[in-house]
Amino acid sequence: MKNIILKNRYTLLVVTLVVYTGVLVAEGAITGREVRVFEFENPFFDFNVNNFEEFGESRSDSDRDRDRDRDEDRDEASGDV
Amino acid sequence: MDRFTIVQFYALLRREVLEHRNLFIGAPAVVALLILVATSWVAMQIDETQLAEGLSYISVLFDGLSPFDMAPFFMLLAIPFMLTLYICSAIYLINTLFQDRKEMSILFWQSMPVSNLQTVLSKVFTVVIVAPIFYVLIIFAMYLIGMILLTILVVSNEVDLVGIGWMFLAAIASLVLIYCSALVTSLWLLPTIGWLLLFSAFAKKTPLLWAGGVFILVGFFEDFIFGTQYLANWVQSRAANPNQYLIFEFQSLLERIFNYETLFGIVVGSVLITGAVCMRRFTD
Amino acid sequence: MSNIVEARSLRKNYGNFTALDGVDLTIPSGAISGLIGPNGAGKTTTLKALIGLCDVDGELIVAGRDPRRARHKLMEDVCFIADVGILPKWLKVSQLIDYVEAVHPRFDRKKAEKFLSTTDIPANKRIKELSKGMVTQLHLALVMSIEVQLLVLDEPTLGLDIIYRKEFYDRLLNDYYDGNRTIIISTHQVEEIETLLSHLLFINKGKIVLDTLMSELCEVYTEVLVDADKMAEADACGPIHVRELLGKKSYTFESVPKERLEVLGELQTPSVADLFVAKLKEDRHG
Repeated sequence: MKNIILKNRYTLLVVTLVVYTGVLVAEGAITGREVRVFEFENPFFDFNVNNFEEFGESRSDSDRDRDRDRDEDRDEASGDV
Repeated sequence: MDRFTIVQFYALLRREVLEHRNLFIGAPAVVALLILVATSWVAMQIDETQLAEGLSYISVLFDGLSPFDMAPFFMLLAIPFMLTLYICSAIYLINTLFQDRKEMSILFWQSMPVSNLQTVLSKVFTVVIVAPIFYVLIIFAMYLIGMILLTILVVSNEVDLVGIGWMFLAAIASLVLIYCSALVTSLWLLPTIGWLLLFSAFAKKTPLLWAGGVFILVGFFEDFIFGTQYLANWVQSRAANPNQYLIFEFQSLLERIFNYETLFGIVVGSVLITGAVCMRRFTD
Repeated sequence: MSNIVEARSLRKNYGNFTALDGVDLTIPSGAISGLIGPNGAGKTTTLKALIGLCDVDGELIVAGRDPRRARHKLMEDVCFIADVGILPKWLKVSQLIDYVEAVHPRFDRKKAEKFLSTTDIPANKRIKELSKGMVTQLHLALVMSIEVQLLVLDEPTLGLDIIYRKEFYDRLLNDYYDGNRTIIISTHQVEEIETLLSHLLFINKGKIVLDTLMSELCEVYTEVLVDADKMAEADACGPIHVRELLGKKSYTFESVPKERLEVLGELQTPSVADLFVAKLKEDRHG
């Protein structure tokens, strides 16, 4: 099998592309992949320099919310134990 | 991993940087120079009073705020560097395993006790880890020069210097963000890195044409054989949103790396990089 | 004496062209082995197969390893110089030495610098700025500073003038070869190396047509300058090659007892070049 795959550059390329396509098609079939734009949170995309103070407050709010969520998760976890 | 292997790998990385210093040092230096010249020219066009007001505003804006919170503002300045890094990395990747076959120096490189795996991994490391370091260093140099010029302007316009100092600290903090952004984007783009390396190792001529042509063909084949478009959907999803290529806050770094899509992309990229490693055995 | 190279039935095709067609060869340790053949005979393919740069079918063991499985490990024990142009042109001489020192566990930097100090090669020049002869000197200096069992040279002096060529082989013999290392040289310039060789390989159309120790050559091959009146008798002895020479004919015989040939004329051992031509022409007609 190894001799066939590594016979020449063309067989190796074909095998690599078959594996590549196979992995993607298999994953797509299992997860039902559709076109999806991945949204990562990026508050600075919405930033307006005229509303800097408001933005600064909203940054502090989002930091407080994140910290509060983390503390709640920790409390729940220790409660489970 | 023994010390000799580490020294060997460092020598491979050093070789990559020496060979491609135009891409990793020259290109960002040119971008930095253009930005400095452009901003200096703009500053010279602005009326003195307006300039003093602007500098005051900036000084107040940054005064007393955490540099890590304010670092993201400098990501805008980083965008031309990031674009340059991605373009130069693509040029590097598509040529790196092709050029030494074309000029037959591969016979020398492969006469040394360095495995194909070490060779290809050194090229991946160069793009993912090493090249961004040089870009960040040049951005730092640009900030330093910019800060000196700004300080001169501020002092001559009698504006409070302290806020400018905070701004400089934020600029320095942004360098970490820029490096992490490049690193995380490279991990996101590992399939692209693998694809370019595979065709760099495969093609006897015009590797870029092969890489592009086969990319389109494979999409058609999937539809033709399986009747599905998962590959096309996957590519479209990954390429669609520019938000994926820039990170604006430290808090989101881990989320960017440890999510299903990035990790699956790393698996796919590894398949293609393995193909490139095996392809390296064909030296003609 | 153990063999550093053992090859059986090596085969390699490039499309429809057969580069190696069942090559069998053994090279004893400590030999200076010449691989001689015309263009397209399979010399470069054979040498590249020995160092794992070319995949071939068949059995192949070099310095105790299969080059196809562990090329980079084999390269700790084998050095290779192809024809002149393969050093990377963009590197500086000093950077090249730094690189080899970092990646090769058996490289002796002081030795390399000592060899280079006897040349005119400046350390801060890029390789593209060096002449062909200097590039060869540099490559040889590097290779001679690495402790290896086997040195493979594929047309190492191609395109060099006589001074560099002579110096190349002088250094190889006097500064490098110690009786334990093995050297394999492929070249067109047979006359240049025949006095160096202890083992001889002829290759033609992908097959080995001669594999002999130089010490055994004179026992097997004989050249006789035959007078006109003895030519019929000479023909009857089954020569492998006949050529005209100043009104007489020179016959080359293989494995014919010398007692039988003494009556025909003056006996001598054929030069490697003459033997090469003889074997090639025998191969063509035979």
